[in-house]
Amino acid sequence: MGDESKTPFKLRFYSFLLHCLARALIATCRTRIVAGEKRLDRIAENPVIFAAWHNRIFYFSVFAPKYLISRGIKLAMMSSLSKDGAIGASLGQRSGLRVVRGSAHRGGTEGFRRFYRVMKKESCSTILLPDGSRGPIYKAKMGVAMLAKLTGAPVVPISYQAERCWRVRSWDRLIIPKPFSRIAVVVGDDLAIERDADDEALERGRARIESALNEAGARAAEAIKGKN
Amino acid sequence: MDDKNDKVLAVISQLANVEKDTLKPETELVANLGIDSPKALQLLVDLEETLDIEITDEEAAKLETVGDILELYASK
Repeated sequence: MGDESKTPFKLRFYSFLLHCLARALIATCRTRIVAGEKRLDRIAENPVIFAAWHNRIFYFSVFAPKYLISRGIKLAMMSSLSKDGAIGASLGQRSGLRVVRGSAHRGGTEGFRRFYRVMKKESCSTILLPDGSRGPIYKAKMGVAMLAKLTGAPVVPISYQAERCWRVRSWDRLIIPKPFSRIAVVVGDDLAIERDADDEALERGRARIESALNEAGARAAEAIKGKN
Repeated sequence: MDDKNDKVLAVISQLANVEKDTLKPETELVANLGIDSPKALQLLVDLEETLDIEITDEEAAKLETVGDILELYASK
């Protein structure tokens, strides 16, 4: 689980390049957390599940160490078992995250069980991408809601908007902020799902996660336009 | 069914929302009970917590029927 030495040299090299590129690029940008910053100060003691859309991952790979891990938050991420996932895993490790390998497609239950153990036994927070690893874009799957139900940890939706950005032609239209952009980050309100939630309550929880992420993104976009 | 098996069936029936009596060893978790990936996660967590056992990833991957779970619990 997350053993950097087992990652082929080429993948580690790519992840190193990507890590340096992301850090250098984001260093030129100006980040402002426009909502929910105080919430971040209370997370170290009580683990949460951060939820972000998959296409925000490039920026959040730099945001996580600077604004979350620096606050004493122990943070784990899931990375798929594919080659792309190996790069993601290596990138996550370079950013100081605990990496759990697995996905919703191959070994999904296995990956989520590892996540569950990490959260329960090590009081580790996690960052999950509810529409990953293959989409459809902006459609939350059930895994995040189920993990929240089983661990009792609240879901904290988090999103951002960059003043100017590139969009990669991938399924998720990956967002890469352009240099010297202003970036607005929104940390949404906690979403809790009861341990005894039935199928309908779980579905409502999943839908709430989806809409909260869209609302956080919209609020960040408004802040960039100067409305907030 | 003895008391040991009864605890296993109680976990499965509660999760699948079916009567305990309807569960047979050959009942398939996915096809008959609709236990998809997220529910499988809850099933494994509930089994571990209720029965105070640990189920490895390899063991979990082999569970396809109610009988498989009963056999696994008997082997613990």
